[in-house]
Amino acid sequence: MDATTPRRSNAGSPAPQSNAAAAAAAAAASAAAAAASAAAAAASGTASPASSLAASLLGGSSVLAVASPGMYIENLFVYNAIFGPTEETEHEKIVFYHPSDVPLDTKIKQVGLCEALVKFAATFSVDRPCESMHSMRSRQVFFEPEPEYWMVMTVTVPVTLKTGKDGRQVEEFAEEDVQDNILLTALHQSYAMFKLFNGRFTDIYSQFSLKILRHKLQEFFPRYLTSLRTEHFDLLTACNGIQFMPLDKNTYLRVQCFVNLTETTFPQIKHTVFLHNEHLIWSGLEQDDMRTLYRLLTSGFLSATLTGSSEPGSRTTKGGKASATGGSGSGTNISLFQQQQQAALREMQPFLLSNRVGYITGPEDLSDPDTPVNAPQLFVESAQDGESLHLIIYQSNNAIVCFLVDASVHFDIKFYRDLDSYIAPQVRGLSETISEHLAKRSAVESHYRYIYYNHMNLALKSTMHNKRQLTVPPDVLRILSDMRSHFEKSPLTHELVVKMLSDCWVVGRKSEQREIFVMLQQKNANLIEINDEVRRLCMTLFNNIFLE
Amino acid sequence: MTSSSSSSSSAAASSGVTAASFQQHYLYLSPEYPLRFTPPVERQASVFFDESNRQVFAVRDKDNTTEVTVFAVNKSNPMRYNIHGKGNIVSVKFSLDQKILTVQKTARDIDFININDRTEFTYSCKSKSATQIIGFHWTYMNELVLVTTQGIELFKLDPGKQSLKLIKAVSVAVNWYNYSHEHRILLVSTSLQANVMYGFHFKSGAMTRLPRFDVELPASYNKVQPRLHESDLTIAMVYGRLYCLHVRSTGLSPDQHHSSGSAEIVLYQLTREAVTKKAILDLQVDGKFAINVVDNVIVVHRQESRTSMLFDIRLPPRDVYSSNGLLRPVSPSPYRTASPVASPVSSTHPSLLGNAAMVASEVPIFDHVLAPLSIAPFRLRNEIKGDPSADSATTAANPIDCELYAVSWVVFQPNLVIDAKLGVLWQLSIKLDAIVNMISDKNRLVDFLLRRTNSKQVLLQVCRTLLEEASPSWLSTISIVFDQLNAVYKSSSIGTDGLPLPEQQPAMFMSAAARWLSTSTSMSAAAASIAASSATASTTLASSSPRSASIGSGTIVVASEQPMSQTNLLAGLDADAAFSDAALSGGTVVDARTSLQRSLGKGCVVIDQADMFSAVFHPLEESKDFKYRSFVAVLVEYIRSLSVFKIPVQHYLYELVINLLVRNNRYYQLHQFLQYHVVNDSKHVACLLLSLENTYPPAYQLALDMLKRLPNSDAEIVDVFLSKGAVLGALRYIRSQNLESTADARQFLEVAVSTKDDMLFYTVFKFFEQRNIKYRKSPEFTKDDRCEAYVQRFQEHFRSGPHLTQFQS
Repeated sequence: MDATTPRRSNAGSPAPQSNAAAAAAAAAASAAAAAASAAAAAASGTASPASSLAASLLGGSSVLAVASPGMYIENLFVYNAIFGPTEETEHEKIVFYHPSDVPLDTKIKQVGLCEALVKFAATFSVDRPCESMHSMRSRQVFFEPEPEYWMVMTVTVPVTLKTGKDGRQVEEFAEEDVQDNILLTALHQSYAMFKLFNGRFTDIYSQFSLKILRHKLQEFFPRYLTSLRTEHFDLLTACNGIQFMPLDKNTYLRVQCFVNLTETTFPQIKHTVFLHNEHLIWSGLEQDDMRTLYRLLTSGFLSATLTGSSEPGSRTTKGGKASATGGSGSGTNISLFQQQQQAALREMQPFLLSNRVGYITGPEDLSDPDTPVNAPQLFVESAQDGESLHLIIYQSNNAIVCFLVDASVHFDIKFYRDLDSYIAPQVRGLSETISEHLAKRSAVESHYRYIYYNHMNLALKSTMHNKRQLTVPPDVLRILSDMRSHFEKSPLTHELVVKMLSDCWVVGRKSEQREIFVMLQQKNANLIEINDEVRRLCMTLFNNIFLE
Repeated sequence: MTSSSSSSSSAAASSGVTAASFQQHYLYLSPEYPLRFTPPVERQASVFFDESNRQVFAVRDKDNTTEVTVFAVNKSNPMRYNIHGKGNIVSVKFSLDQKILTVQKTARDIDFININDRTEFTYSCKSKSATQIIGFHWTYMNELVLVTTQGIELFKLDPGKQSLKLIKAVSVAVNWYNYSHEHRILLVSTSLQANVMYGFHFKSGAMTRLPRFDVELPASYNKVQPRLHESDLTIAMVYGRLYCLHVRSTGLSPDQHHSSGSAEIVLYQLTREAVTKKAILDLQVDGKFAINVVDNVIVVHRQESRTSMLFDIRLPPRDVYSSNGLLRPVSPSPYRTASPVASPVSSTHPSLLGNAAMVASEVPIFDHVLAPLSIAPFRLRNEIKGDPSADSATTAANPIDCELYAVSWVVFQPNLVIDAKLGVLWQLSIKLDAIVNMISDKNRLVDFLLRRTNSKQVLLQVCRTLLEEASPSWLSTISIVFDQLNAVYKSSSIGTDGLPLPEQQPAMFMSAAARWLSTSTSMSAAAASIAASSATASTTLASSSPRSASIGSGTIVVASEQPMSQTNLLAGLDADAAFSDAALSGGTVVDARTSLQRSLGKGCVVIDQADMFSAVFHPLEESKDFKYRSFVAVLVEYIRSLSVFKIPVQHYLYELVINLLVRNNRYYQLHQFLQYHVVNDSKHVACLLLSLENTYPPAYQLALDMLKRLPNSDAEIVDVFLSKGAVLGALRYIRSQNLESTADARQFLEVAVSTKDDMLFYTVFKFFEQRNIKYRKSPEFTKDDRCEAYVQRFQEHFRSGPHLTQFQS
């Protein structure tokens, strides 16, 4: 990295800076001002010195000499105050606490503090409960997914050691690197993922017991948390969107017809999801479920948890049969279920790594009639009452088809064989067609760096990422994230323009439910030029949608 | 074929009643058609049938004269004529204009009797004494062909001079001949074995030779030289191509082990350039056969078993599906996974390729479409047309159950059956709805039905039952059915979007031309048909024979310029000839007749979206027990099929999909459909989406996007904004589209006021003032703006404004 180029405009400057530009842009957006763009240009003229004045701090990643802990999850816990109403039963409140090796006293104190905080904040804001608490060294976010159940996550604020003038080392906390909206989304996602595999807290509690709820949380979260890559926490996490595969109508209809034919041929299949290259093509699930399943399929959760050593005792033996020793004491049927679940998840492990063909979840060996069948159970909103579904994932090169099948029916190996022989040639054919289609398309892929997000269908597209790697400086994304929370807070804002120290322009636009963020690198450009450039971009990339 | 001798009649009547009456029947004798003629044969009368005019002549001696009674198909009352002298009549027929009665009494003379002025003259063979007349036919108005044992002579009749003028003569030793008036084709048999055929085609004033060809005879057996008989050959047009059908026995050949024997029909296609063996119909049994062609289906009657078989040479021949016993892989259908889209036709069902299978040098062999069945019983009501004097007492009141496949049956082309004994002429028809339950492979069934005229309702019923029954692989079946229907639909609608199909292009072009002609002018049906066939003739002949092309179209242009008249009728015949002319030119004419019928809208089996909607989808929507998911799947299949064939989808189909999804709260799926433009953009759909906003908010965004993509929808977009009170959004929009100059300020101000937001009102007002300055050089509103109320309101609310002070001063 070039040390002479300050890569971050820091120390609280992004907020006021973007506010200034926002004011100008908002003025530009309001129809009355005829000379709006000129005024905005003037405003940006004042804004850019501000950003250059901003105290620059070298990026954490560039200071290699100093131990840089960055941001990591300090703890995550779930509590329900109803379970421990008295001082003696206070520890009962804690439904789950990670890490588990913390002294109970610390756990109780933490939970008590949060409980107090949430209650205190509720007196000021009845509708919108407390969301986050900032401290110098840590950030805490709160989420109440179900009545009385609170989830709290604490992350550390990245810290760097600097040598002051007097030669003493000073800790500097990069508070602005920790963004509430991203953390909150991450917390929401963790709950959604838990729910997808286990169902609601309240349902587990009422159907089984608190003990089993605790057990399930304990089974799930440590694995999940290790799969989380806090360094990948960025705007994409916050959007929590779905990348759709751009396809022409006829190819899309072929996929659609394939799905319909498969569903009518195998009526046990309740829902089907079709992805290609981690891009969604068709979802028979409802949007919220799809969102979580999409994350499951595209994130490293499945594979990462299984390779991780965080969970002692759940090693894989050859043949995929789990020898779980960790889950003990909690009713044999449950632990058996958990074992299956884990084995099922373990099976998913290689699917991100290789271009395999066959079932990722489901039977391990189609030729062996006694092969274990590992298809995790899913709890989806789309399901009818009492309907439980198993997830079968089938992969053929880049195409992934998920079938949600009725769990109440027992499937023998014949079903899987029939399904395999029915879909295999078709999925392969579709995958090839789509790949050809993509090859043609990628030639015309634009050079623009942008993120598009549509709240309505969760459609997300980013050219600021390639696979999971950033193609733009990370501070750009941090600005985008700030812009996004600004849009959320002031609904009248339609456009925000930020000029960074590095001569980088970042433009955020909101139109109804859509957000577009663009990064432009033009030396000595002025706001008018940037505005024109963004307009051109919208004309070429988003010509078929309505943008204000 | 003017006499009553025929293949079927010569066979001995088989005894014993078959179980046919308990079975279903796919053939029936048309109940509304039967032509009754008297006196029946048994009463010392001769009966003749003239194919050219479709008239039955009953001839009997009456005192010193001969009474000729003419029964015509399209006339209610028979005409009666008396001709001088008694004696045996060999043949009798009218000229094409119905003016001259031609009677052959001896082997050397023909009498010409003018019916109007009763003048008559006799033509006698002038050549060698051994020459005998085998037969004669009126080919065109005042043109007559005479076939003698020594050759063929084409004459022109001069009615005024009462003489025949020889136009052309061909000298050849003739055994017997076959003539098809419909196609003006004459085939004469020569050589010892009678199997060397000379073909002739007649056009007005001319006669052209077709290539000579040998009909393959079965190998000689027991030293008996086989001989070709007149009854073994039939000339017929099938799918717009002319064929000579030869029934031959194969069972007699020594290599056959079965003593029962078997027979087959060989189809020789007749074209000007060559005569080629095109197909073999395997009859599997031997016997006496008679052939009809009904709606391009070759119907083979077998007298011994009193059954008939159906052959369709457009269905896939045996080889295509005999290997595995299946017509096509049941599932997954191969063309789905094969590389798609590029050429829908070539990747679809094999039979859609027409006769692609025949390209191979081997002659394709066809099996009968269905198991042989008998014709449906016919009960004849006892009313004899136009002859009250006839002795009806014997059969009074009791309807007669006609004997089927009787010895007295004679068949004529294309689909006529005469029972000479009963005195009835029927038309043979195929009962399509009966066939529906007989062909279990629905795709094959649809294949068959699509090629039949008037099969639309049956086809729609097939689709409906297919959906209602929900058999295991119904969706893949219906998917192929949709492709089958839409392949035809596409070819019929071609020309409207200018996207020709890769295959069959010339024929498609013709049908397009014909369609255009028939729809763009107010010509009568007949004239239109002429125009259509003129298109046929001229386009197809252009490549092969310029001369005949000019003749064909020349004739037709004259005809089509004239109003409906007698000449038109004749011109129609000419057009018919021009058509067979086209067929003769071979090759490129694929489905000329069918496309011609299609273009005229009578025999067309185009199932379009409106048909599917009203006859299949709409009733399904009403029936509650059809699951919406299956329904949506069906609709998506249909849309997929349409879209593969590049047929624009009608909005009501989209609306149906949308309504179904909405009714079942599948908004997210709907959203995905719209996202991928499965539902095409239209204002209809956009409005429908807007109406969904309350239940599904994203519909608003989808509607706006759609409107944006549609041309000329600025007004709608502004309305959408204003209806939501989003005046600023509306202003932003008109500014981005440079529509300020024409925007109706009043519309915006009205909404701004209704929001009770003074600042908004101020902003909007100022916006339009700016607009006025920019485009009209003055901030004031004009009278046309009708904004007085708002100007006043502005002054009231913002008194201290700069403009206000200006006004006061």
